[in-house]
Amino acid sequence: MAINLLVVDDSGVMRAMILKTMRMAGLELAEIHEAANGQEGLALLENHWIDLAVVDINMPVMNGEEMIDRMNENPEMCAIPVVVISTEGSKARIESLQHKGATFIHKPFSAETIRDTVKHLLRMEDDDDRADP
Amino acid sequence: MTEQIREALSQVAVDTFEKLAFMFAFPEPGEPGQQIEDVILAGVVFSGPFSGRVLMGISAALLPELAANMLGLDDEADVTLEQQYDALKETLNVVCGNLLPAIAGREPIFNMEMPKILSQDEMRESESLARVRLEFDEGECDLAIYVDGGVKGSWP
Repeated sequence: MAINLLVVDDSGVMRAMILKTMRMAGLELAEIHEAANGQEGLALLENHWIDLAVVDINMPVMNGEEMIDRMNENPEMCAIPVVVISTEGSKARIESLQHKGATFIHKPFSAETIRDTVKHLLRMEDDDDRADP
Repeated sequence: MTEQIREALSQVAVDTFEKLAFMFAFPEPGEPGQQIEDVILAGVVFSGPFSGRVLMGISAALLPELAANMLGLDDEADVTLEQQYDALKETLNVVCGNLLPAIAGREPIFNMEMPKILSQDEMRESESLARVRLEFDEGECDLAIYVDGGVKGSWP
C-alpha cells in the first residue's frame, strides 16, 4: 500500500528527516503533502485524500494539539490516523494526546519505531508475516 | 545535583546527535574553557516548575555536516544556510525536550518556546546551572542550561 501522507512540522529539516526515515523504513509513499503549522495542515486535509497525518506539537500559528482537536470535530477528518512526533516529555500531555486518538512517537526516533507504528495504524501486512503458499 | 544535571545534559546531547544526525560526540571532562571560535549560537526558553533556557553553541564548521546528515544528503555543499540554522534549532529543541524530563521526571508539564538563533555574547552573560562541551572530529559544541532561581527539590 502506498501512503498518501501529510507531514506537519515547522522545521523543514525535520519534515525532510521524517520523510527520509519513512523511506528508509521501507514504507511506500504516494502523494506527500507538507505543512509548517496546524492551520496549513487543516487546509491540506480539506483538499486532499490523506491516509496518515504526522504532526508536531510545538508549532507557531496553530499547534499540533489544536489541529488534532479540529480534526476530531470534523466528520470528514476524524477517522484519519494521526501520529504525533514530538519532544514532549510530560506523561499527562502524552496521555491527553493519546486520549484524543493520536499515537505518540518521541524525538529522536528510529526508522523501526516509525515503520512499526505506521504499519500497525494502517493495518499493513508485514512482508515477513505473509505465509508462503 | 549540579553534577547530575551536567551528566544528564551530556548524555542527552550525545544521544541526540547520534540518533538525529549519526554524529558521534565525546564529552570533554570538566567545565568548558575558552569560548569556541567561529561559533553559531541558538537558545530555547522553557517554563514550568522551574523556568530558564538552554543554549547551544556549535562550531560553524560542524553545521553543514549536521544539516546534511539530518536531511540525508551526501554533499554538504547542497545544504543552505537556512537549513543549517534549522538543523541547529531542531537539535536544540530535541536536547531541551529530553533534558527537562531527565531533570524533573515525567510528571511536571513544561512549555518550550520556539528555538532562536542568538548573538555570540549570550552564552557568557550569566552563570549557567550546568555546562558541557562535546568534541567532534571537525569541531566542538557547548551546551548550557540556565535556570531562573535554580532547581529546587530532589532528583527524581
